[in-house]
Amino acid sequence: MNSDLEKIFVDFFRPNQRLIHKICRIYTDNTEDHQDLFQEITIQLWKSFPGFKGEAKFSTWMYRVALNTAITLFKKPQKKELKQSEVDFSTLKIEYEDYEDDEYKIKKMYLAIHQLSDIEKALIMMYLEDKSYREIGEILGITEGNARVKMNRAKNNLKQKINTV
Amino acid sequence: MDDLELLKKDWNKDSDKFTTYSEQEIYKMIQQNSTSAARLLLLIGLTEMLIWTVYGYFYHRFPVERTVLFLVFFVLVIYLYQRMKAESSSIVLMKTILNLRYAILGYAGISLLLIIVDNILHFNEYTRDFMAGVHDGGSGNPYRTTHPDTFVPEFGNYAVFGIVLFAVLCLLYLIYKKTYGKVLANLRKNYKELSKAE
Repeated sequence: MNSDLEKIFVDFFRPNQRLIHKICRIYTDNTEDHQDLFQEITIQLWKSFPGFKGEAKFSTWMYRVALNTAITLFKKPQKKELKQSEVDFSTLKIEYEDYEDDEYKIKKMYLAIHQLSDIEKALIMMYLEDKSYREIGEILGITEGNARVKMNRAKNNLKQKINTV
Repeated sequence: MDDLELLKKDWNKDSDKFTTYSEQEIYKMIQQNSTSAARLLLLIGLTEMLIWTVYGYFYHRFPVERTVLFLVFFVLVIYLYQRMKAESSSIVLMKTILNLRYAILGYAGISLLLIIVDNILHFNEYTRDFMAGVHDGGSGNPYRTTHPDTFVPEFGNYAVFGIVLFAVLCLLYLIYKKTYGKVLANLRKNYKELSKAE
């Protein structure tokens, strides 16, 4: 039987799943890890839920817990070496043919994001979410000025990586 | 359009690629145990503390001190783990986990120091024990047949015992690197990057 608190949590959680999927998309590169991270974030949110006072919006609170789980609490799986025979060349060919497409450009940008450090990924994600420097500073625990400098550096690093992937 | 603006547009569009979990699936998920790095660290840490304590009792070395030490650190580690909040700022959360590790390391460090001091104070006696053990092992005698006092260690014996002791310490270091190293390497890197003032 589900407790009242569980029911309240699930009611809050359900409409906000997309946000967690977006974080998982940035921090993992395959479906299995995506699901594992999604589950860990859900567990951490549930464990932290009694501490949710409702002072902030649920989605803002959720964002903070989810990001902390992705950066710090999630035990990253060991990277598997990709063998030459496992590379799908047909996909690469299609991507090459669509070179000028926006969709191709976006794929390339996501590939570049995966090469950033965990902190830079968080910064870029908060930029995409239109978070203010004050909010970014609060979430990460750094000053607003520091957040601004780190953000500029992360953006420049991303642009460089886009050109090399 | 600027690359990043294009990305932002894609990021904020409603994607139907993501799985939407049902109520029942979410209920099922929250019943699962966390596999977080912090929980793993706690489990490895408590196991380690227990092994050090059992070792102390097994060899009848500092049982009272060890009990007090174990209890103090056990309470400290559990307290630090309880204080860890996923909704803290990232840097505070990282610092709390690192403090948890320092507490466990502190216990292991004191335990190791006690062993080193004990070995230095009783170096002569332990070298004789070591020689008796090697003699019994080499002759196929049952455990502790030869009395250690029948040996008078020379420089070479001390040196061999010292080398074996050093090798054991190196092995301990390797075990630490394999267990904690993997869990904490990423955390340390992220903490360093985030706490660096620009």
